[in-house]
Amino acid sequence: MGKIISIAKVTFKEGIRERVFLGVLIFVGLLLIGSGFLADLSIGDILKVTQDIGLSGLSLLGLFVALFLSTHLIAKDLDKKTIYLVVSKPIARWQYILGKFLGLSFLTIFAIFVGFIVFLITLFYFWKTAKIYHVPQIAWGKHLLAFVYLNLKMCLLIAVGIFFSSFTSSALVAFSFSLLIYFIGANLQNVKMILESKVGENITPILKSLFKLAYWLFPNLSLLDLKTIAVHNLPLNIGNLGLSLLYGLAYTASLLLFASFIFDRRELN
Amino acid sequence: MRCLIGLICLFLSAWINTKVQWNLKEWTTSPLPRPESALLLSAEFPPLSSDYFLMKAAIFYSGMAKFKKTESLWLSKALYLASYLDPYYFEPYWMAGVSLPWEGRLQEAKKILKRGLNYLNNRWEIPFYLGFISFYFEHDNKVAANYFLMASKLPNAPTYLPLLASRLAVKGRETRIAIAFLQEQLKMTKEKKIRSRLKKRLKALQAISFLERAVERYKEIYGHLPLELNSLIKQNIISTIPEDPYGGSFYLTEDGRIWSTSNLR
Repeated sequence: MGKIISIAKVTFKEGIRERVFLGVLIFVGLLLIGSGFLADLSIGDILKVTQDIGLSGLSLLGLFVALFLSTHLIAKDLDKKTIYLVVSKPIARWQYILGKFLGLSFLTIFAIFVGFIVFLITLFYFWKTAKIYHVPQIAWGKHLLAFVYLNLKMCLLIAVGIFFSSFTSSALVAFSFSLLIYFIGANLQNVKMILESKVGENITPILKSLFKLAYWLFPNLSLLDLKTIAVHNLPLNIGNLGLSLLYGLAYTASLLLFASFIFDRRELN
Repeated sequence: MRCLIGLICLFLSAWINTKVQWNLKEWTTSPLPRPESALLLSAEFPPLSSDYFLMKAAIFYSGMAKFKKTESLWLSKALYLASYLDPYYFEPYWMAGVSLPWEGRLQEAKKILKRGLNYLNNRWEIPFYLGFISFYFEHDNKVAANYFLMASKLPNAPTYLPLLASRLAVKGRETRIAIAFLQEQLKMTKEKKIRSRLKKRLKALQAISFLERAVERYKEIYGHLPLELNSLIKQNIISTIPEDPYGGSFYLTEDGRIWSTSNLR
């Protein structure tokens, strides 16, 4: 366990030192602070727009840190041969994978946490100063829940990044594949909704079967996306929340297991 | 030297940028994607896309004096898109209820609002708008009364709604109810341009209501409808005929209603 923690610590420090990390954090910080002013361009309930921009900004922040760093840091280890320093020590490769995953997860959670605090302060300020006809109640508790599930989603995406890095040497290839998986995963629920609507009646059965396969295979990221519930203060379904949590954990675990299986058999030269 | 040329190029591009003709109308009425395509392209951010299309629709609506048929169709599509992408967002329904019926887009407005009933079943405004469309534009008092009754049972509904539902059978109150409707909408928006549009419509309806009351008074005295509005001045019931803020002139229809040559558009 100590070895895993050490790798996680090194990964965390390495990530913090990446200039990109700081750049993204500053950019999203500014976006969050400016969200209220951007929202002012809209009509009616501008707080809804502030929350949309804020939560979407946090999601983008997490997405960038999770996907970029997970693919970049492992490729860097391989490229600069620093991985030999690790594998020559009595550390199993699965420990390396798990250590990387934990380090990257802490890093992403840290980034999202910083962003979330900025978001809450800004939202509170605009909520208190909003001059609108009907000032809505903000569901603070549900925002916190959305934050927790966002972190889980990002852990899943880090596992996706690590999975692709386990068999490709190029960071760009791993990043592109992970981005593609993210895009499919974020849309699974949307496609399902469209197929079940009137538009879906015109779609061929082959395409529908393909979609069913995709629904089994790819991660359904909408399950871990509670933005709409938080913004519109929709009722929570505890059973579904519990299942979503299990889903996220099980999917992440399976990706990490596959990644370590592949990485164990990989020739490092 | 390189920095100098770089600076010159930067200034040149900024100067060209100021010379490019930028048309607000073109920007706002650019073709809209199909709702399904927009949903897929938005991935996990459909609410953000919804905010964007509503903002576009609001900028367009407040910036235009008159709408052509294609433009009001664009507005209805943009609002449908906004409500499709985030069905729990109230503002697209609000705008659809307030703007579309007056531009002759009754079916489009009803389609958007009826969809809203499924998602926002605790907002009294949505059945209220549907009731108003049935009552004022379609003259279907029975359907309207049902919608008003539905609205009156929801949280924060104005206390006059049940009364309104029961009074629908009384004819000749359309204008006064429309005035009450617009005053309610005015309370709900702070956006200056949309307010000025609502105020303009309110002014026209107040003028119509004023003339309707004068015609009622004439009928009480003489037992029949006046032949034209000028008769009201001749018989000293009113001193002048108010102006139509939309540039038309008011006239008396055969069944004794007041309308304008501008159609209030």
